[in-house]
Amino acid sequence: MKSLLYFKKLMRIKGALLFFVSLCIVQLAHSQTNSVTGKVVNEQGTPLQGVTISIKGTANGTITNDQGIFTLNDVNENSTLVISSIGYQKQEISFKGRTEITITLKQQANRLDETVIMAYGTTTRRLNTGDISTITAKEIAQQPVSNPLAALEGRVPGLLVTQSNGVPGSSFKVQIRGQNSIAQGSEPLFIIDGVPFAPGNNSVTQMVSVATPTGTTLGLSPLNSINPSDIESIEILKDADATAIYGSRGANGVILITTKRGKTGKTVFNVNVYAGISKVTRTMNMLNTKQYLQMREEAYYNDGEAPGIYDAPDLLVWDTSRYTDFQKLLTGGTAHTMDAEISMSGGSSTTQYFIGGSYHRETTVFPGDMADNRGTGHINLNHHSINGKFNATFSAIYSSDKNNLIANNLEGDITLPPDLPPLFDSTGKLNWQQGGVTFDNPLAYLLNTYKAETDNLLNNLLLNYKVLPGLSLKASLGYNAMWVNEISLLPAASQNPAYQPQGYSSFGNSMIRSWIVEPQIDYAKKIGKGILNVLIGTTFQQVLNSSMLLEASGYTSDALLESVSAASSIDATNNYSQYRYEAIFGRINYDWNNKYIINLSGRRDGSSRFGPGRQFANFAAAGLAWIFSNTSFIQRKFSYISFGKLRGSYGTTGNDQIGDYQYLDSWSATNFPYQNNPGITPTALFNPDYSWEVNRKLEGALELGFLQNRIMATISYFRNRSSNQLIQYRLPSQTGFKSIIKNFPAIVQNTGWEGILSVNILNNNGFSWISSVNLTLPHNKLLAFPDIAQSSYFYKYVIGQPLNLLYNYHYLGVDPSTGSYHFEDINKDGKINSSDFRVNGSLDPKFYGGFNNIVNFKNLQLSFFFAFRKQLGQNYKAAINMPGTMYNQPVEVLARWRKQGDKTDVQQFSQGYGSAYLAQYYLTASDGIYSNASFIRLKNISLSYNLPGSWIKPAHLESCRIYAEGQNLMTITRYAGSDPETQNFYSLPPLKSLVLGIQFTF
Amino acid sequence: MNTFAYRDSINFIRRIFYGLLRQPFLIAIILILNLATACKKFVEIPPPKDKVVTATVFKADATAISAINGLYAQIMSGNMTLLNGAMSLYPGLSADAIYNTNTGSNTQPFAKNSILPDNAINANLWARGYAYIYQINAIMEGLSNSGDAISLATKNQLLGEACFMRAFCYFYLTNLYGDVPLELAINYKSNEKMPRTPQAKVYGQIISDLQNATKLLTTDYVTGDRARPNKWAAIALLARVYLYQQQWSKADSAATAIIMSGAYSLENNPQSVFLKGSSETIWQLIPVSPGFNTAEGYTFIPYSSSVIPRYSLSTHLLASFEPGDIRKEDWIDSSEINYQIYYYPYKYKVALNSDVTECNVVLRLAEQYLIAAEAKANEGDILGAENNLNVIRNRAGLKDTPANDKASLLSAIEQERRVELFCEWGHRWFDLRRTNRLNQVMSVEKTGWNSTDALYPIPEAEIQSNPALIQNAGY
Repeated sequence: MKSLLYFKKLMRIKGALLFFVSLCIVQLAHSQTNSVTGKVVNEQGTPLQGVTISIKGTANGTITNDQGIFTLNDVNENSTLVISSIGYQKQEISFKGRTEITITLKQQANRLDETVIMAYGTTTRRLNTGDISTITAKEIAQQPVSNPLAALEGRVPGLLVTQSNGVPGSSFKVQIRGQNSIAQGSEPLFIIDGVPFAPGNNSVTQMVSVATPTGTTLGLSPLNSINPSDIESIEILKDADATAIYGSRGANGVILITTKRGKTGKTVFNVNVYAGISKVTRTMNMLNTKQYLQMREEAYYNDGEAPGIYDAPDLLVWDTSRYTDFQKLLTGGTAHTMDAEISMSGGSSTTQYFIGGSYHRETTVFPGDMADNRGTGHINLNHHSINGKFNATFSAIYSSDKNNLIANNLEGDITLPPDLPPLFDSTGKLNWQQGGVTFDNPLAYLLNTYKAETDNLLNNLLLNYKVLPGLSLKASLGYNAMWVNEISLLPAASQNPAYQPQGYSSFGNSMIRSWIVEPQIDYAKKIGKGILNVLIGTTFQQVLNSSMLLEASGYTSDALLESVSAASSIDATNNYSQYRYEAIFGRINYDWNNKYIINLSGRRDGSSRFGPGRQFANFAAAGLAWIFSNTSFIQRKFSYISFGKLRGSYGTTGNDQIGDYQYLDSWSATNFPYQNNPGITPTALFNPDYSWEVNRKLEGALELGFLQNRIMATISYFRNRSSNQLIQYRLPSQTGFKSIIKNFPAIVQNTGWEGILSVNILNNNGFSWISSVNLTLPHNKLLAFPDIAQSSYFYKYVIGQPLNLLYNYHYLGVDPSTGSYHFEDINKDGKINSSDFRVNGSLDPKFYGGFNNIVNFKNLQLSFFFAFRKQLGQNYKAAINMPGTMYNQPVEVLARWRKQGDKTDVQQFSQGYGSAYLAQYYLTASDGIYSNASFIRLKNISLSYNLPGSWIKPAHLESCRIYAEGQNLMTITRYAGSDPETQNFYSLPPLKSLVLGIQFTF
Repeated sequence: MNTFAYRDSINFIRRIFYGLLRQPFLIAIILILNLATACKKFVEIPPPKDKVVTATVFKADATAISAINGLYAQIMSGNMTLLNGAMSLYPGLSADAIYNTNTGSNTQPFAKNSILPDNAINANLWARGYAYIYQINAIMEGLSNSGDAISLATKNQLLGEACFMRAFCYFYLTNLYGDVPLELAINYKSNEKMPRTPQAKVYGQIISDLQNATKLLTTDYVTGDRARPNKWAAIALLARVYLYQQQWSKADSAATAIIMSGAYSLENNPQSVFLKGSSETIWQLIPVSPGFNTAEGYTFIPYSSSVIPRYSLSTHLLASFEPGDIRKEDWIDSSEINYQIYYYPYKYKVALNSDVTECNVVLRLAEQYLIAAEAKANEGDILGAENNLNVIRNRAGLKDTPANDKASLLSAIEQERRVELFCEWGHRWFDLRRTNRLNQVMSVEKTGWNSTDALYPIPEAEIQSNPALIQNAGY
């Protein structure tokens, strides 16, 4: 009877193989069967849910319930149970007729089975069908950085992170797998503890400051509000399989940040303090006064003009024996960093908690009193009911940042003439003029203070109720708010008193508030030899943006600058926008015996950023994985292959990063009324017809582990094609505006190879050495662009070439006979104009990556990490004023042309409006300002020592670690400019830092 | 039988229902799907609170008037923008009126007639012009689609102002750049690829817009301070355009109509010509930035007597004033620094003041006398020309002109325009070019002068965004 039941049950299970059935029947004929109940717990004794229990050699199996309990019927007393769960070591136990057993699973040490956070769930490296890279808390902790983005640089293949400058709190450019969009939203989606980080990587500040790199409007980085040491892991989601469930927001990849959680066990206090110093990485040597004056005189001589006291006070009025090294004066200082944090964590088997707080302070290399101060708090609570049916997780991070900077970019003033008159007069006041000729006093900028206060609150509550075994109802509720308060002051004291200056101040407030509700259903069932996981959920999200900017002027007293009412006139503007988003999403995952895995995901999205009738769109993806190392063929023939997986995915994602209300034909108020009557003006060109863009992603990858996974390698190929892109389509101003939100008719393709190789070189006698390298070879291409010749992109893009193209004049060096730069006249018409443009290369990196080493010897740990990039970049010639004019220059210009026949790369000195002036103009529109900007940078080095137990026991400490960490300590490059990463002569290069710290737990 | 079938089907439905109930997964899916569809309206959001949509703008007189006020406010925002000071400075530098005391200034390429196609100031002049034209076209379209929502009087007034303003913008664009794309609608799809329209056609549109404006506008100013153009303003600009087009009799009759209207009279004292309440002002733009009066005053007047003025009048211009010309005293000031005297334009006498006493005078009666004089001289009306010219000379404390034939009169009028209208709205630069005297004068005045410097370059970025635009010769 029992065997008949067993047979019937088996027949009901789809996917069971006849082979196993017959095998079982044969076995049944010889042995008795029993039912067995068991409990699975972890090493701390906490029940584990969702653990797979299967009977070896059969398709029979089950999964544990919320209390870790499972029941199996009709089990042959001789059979072996296989117990497996994500993140735990697989166990096999022989059953031997017992009816009740308790199984303790050990945490998996193998990296393959470590938990990887994915969209709306977790997986492991072993079973993942998508492309997800993880940066762990350990890797972040080695880096003394205040912004989590800084900790990612070079560590993940396919992820390009570029620091904009070295001012604390400044922005980072983040790009996953190349430039997908031409002008719009190339930023990935940032999700922190399941809540979309409302500002993303977009600046929320409204004013410019010293943190704004010249030529951009970038402000402070919102992610600077996140304390890196609160982070447990950062996951980078790259392919369609991993991102399609984010639908319209997934096109540029997704970055998931998960904060730390408490662990069951005794209360652990963790204290970590470090302090250190920083200086700029790399600068150019500038001319000294003698060289500078020689340049100026030569320029006048070349131009055949005589200097006058008003155009050449540096030659005729000022004391030519003076020398000020402005680079050293303005950016040569030492910045100090201090960081302290304390946390407490622990918990019982039902409730765990983590409470932490930190303080971070970073000063600048500028003269004057500037600093970024940040305090953060973090709470995580996790509770599940005793019957295990209900689970709630709450997390909250809060930060308050106060960045005291100045409003002006000081870096521009490193080109001041080195014989500038004394900056202070004999009475100690700022000096403004000599001999009737006024000059800019860079030290005055130090009085133009800029203060930004940023507060960020992010909460998430995750509720989970198990209705039936395998079926749970979930709800994720999130709230994120960021407030930014800015004050920028321009006191009269910082302006030339000859101009009867008045004080100005600007007051800015901006606020982003966002909530999200995501009810979900999760269903897991063992079907056949596999496990089916189904997830269905919906999203409702709203983001409200509001800001106000007050510009007050006419202050008669600098003392009252921070009071709005003391201003004689006030100009106020405000902005308000609302964004709403809803979606229904789902995922079906079937894992057949840890061998074949199929993952289907999809989303239907609605976004308020689209006009009526165009608000909804569908996105979907499929991922497949075959773990071929689980086949007997590989296990027999290639036993050195300990892990092998082939995976692939294809799917679609979208992008709605276009700003709100762009489909509306709207007018907004002018800054000022006319004759006290209100005025309005068109806000932008409107386009009611734009629709969703589609990004199709294809990926194939091979993951291998050799020699018990001591060597791990992953190689993947991706191809992303985006079409119908939504961009700020460039327009000539004759249309009234410079751009319109429009679907870009082109197809842009990003392809690339990414590889990771990690080798456990040594592991014995307390000595271990792990080395890993990652490499990305990206390639970007414009596949199609209908009617490009008539479009506004005719002089910008070329079909078949990358978007990041150098399509400009071709520089031929300095003409030895004339001494001016000359350029190739492609069409030989004797004129140099846009029809002489040619393809001169691409600014995309040829390859980039990182090389990491971790060496442990007993209590000592050393790790060093190099980031490298091969690329073409803008050199110093892109930014400098024409050599010969009243601006200082890098010493490189001394190689200038002097006489007929000179072969050099710097044209003759000139200060006028002759041929050199024109040549200088063509130079900046040519490939002559680009050169090799490849670099290898010792991004991070960290040395730490764990004090031996015998030392710290008497102090009742559990562990104590002292460490030294360095960031950007060394850069190897042939770049002709200041820093090859920022590539901007007028922005502060990234800093190199060295810190010392101590961490102890008790 | 019937009952049985009924009970059977009820049972069947009940079975399905209970069957479904036993499938909580399914129910949850249905619930979630319901939730998602029920909230389809969730993503339909109201218009933003800080903006209005076009349909609302042209639904009421008040908002439609705001649209035209917005245009003037935009024109007057910023310092030295296309129609707020720039025309008094850059063409003055390009011609022989003023020069930079600081040769490192970013305006120096204008003085050196070496403007590069990527010059940011030049790019801004172009972009501002077309931004205003877009707003004007949007107002015209909004008004014509407004049905009966706006009262006829308001509609005519606003349409008239819009026509006038479009002509005004195109007048400066075509005089700076020559042929310019003639955009008359707001549809970007047709606008973005438009090539340069021949200047004759641009002038044709300017004249037709001005003629429309004269029909739509009344002789009243709808607000105080002559701050919004009326019929006379349209006629005054028309007179200038006819003069540029050498349509002498039309220029003559338009200018004479204004002079004879009695609506305006020359100020006796040149000191008060540029005051807010000047009786010779036909149209002026009111400053909007708090603390500022005119952009000219702010730019030309040095901050203190110990600082060199940024721009100084050329010795040629100074020398061209006849002895006894009180304009030289009243409209020019100077600073002496290091034993050198710098003369600067002083028509506007307020650099900064929160009390607005001077406005941006665009059209004034004196120019109409000079237009009438020039038109009459060309028509052969020597006496009429002399009379009109003498009105201006006498006001400046000068005796009647000795010129008594066409050639000498035209030359006297050119000279009079030079000293009456210096550093005002680009008159000198445009006058030399329209009379074909630019090369002759400039090749003496400026080293490195090229005949192609007469037109500014089309901004490089514009050509790159619209391959149909062809650059001016020489750039």
